[in-house]
Amino acid sequence: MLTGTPIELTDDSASYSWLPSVLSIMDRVPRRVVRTVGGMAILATVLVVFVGSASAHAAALRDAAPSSLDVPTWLFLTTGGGAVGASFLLASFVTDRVFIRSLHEWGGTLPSPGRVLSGLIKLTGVVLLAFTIYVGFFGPPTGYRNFAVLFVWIAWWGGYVASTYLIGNTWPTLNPFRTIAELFPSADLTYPERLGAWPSVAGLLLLIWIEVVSPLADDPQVLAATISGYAVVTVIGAIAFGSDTWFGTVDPLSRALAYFGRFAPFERTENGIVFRLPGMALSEPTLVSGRDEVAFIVCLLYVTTFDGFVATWLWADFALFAVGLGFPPMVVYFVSYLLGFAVFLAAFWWALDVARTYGNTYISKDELARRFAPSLLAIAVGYHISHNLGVFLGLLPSVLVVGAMPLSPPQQPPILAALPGWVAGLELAFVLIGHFIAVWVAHAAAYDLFPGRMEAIKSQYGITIVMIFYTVVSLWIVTTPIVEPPFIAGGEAPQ
Amino acid sequence: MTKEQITNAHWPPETEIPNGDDPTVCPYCSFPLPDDEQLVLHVGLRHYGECTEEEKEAFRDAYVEEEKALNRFRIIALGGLVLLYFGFLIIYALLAG
Ligand SMILES: [Zn+2]
Repeated sequence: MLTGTPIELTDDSASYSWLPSVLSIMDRVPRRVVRTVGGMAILATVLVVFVGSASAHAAALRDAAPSSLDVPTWLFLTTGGGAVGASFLLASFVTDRVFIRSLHEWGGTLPSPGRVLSGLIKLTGVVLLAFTIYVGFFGPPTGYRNFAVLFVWIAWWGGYVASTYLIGNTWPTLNPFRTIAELFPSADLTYPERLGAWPSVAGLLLLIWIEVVSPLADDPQVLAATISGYAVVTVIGAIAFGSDTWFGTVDPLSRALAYFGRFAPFERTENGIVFRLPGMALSEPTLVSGRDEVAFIVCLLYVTTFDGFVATWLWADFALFAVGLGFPPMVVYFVSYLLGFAVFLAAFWWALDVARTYGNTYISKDELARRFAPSLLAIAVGYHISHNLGVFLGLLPSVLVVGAMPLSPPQQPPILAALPGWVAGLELAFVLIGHFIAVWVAHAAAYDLFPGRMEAIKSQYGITIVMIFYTVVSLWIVTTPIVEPPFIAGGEAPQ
Repeated sequence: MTKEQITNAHWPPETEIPNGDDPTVCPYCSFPLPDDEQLVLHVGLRHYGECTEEEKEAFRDAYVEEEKALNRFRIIALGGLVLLYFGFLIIYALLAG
């Protein structure tokens, strides 16, 4: 099945004159769609057969064994890394330029929703924000009984944020901070061009730093105070520089959700709502425009990793060791936080060096960074689902019950204590699927950049190695037991 | 605006030529390439509508030639997949046994 590469039937034809003409003419849509659907089915089958049969074998073996087989951690992690490596090898079989492009170009346009609906969504956003802050300050002080905590972390972060990449980014409409800022006339100060998206990188690092070191998920008042602070900064910033500049450039939240929205199958544009295959718009050349935006995407991936990493025994051991040497705990956290980011940037930069060497090209590293960085968004998406799916399903009953009576919630809001086993399996599957899509997006971007197909494949060596390594790390973080991070709020300083 | 146009509007990408290198330059868009093979492929892919018959001919030849290298790579890749698959299968089997 693998050697057959039925995707490439047309490559065998004697004349290649169809190739550039199809590459440059857009009027072959019906044929394209047929090819696309057929090709997708083949690609999907190959991937599913590979990953599925590997795990099915493992499951069958487990069933056959008299006692249940515990897959050791190292094997589980290398299997994940191996699957990502395999997806690179599989992608390298798809060398038909027309097919690759057609996957990324499949789609169409739907009419936009009316103004009334937009107005209602905006109003809902503002009401929910005000209510969240109010209940945060004046509602029950226990996190799991407080609507603000449940709403922000389960409904908004776990559920709504997932909708921005699974469906489409509705944040520009819903964003209550924007709605409030637009009630005021803008001062229209000139935003310093040279700052670019760097403030959003700093803002993202700051937000996640606050999230990691403060009891934002446990203490409703701290949460409400943080949201209020963010609201003040955001609204003042948007009034000062104009909403479009602020939310399009500076605001880290809007930027993150906008990137997630580029993954989504639906997107609102001037002409209406366009639809496409999930993740396929990530290969568009104009998505990322500079080092600042590349750094933001790497940062987005990094902060979720760090957030998970501080809750592992490895970090706990390290933090205890470093503090034992006499360093203040906050310094240990902060320096490690920034160093980790530097490691992520360096790994990506190294992968681009490899791409430049093996891709036989003069295209600059910056350009390669801009074209390959968006593929990382697919990984961030997979990681976000796997991080939040179980928590979201488990606490959804709490959100609904506490949401129905936010000021007098029950003592023990209901939860789904025992989630079916497949939820955990699904979480891991999403980490891998995110990586598969990332491998594919980088593959497609390479095909757009490199004239030689062999060079396009070779350019992916470094990125593939980095992705395999990152898969192993993130699978380990997702599956390793959660340990309260030492020295910070929520975690007790050990005696 | 179609995506094709966006792609072409974005072409050529930013380049950086190491000191001492003598790039081959595309006669149509001045895009620098490290060797003639890359140039032939580039011209055929990016400028098929405007290039000469000889360039088209050279492009087709290079495209077929490329296929050979790709086939070699596919054999290695297939070997890699088989190794990965059966390697893991054997490890899982050993652990189960
Ligand atoms: Zn050219």
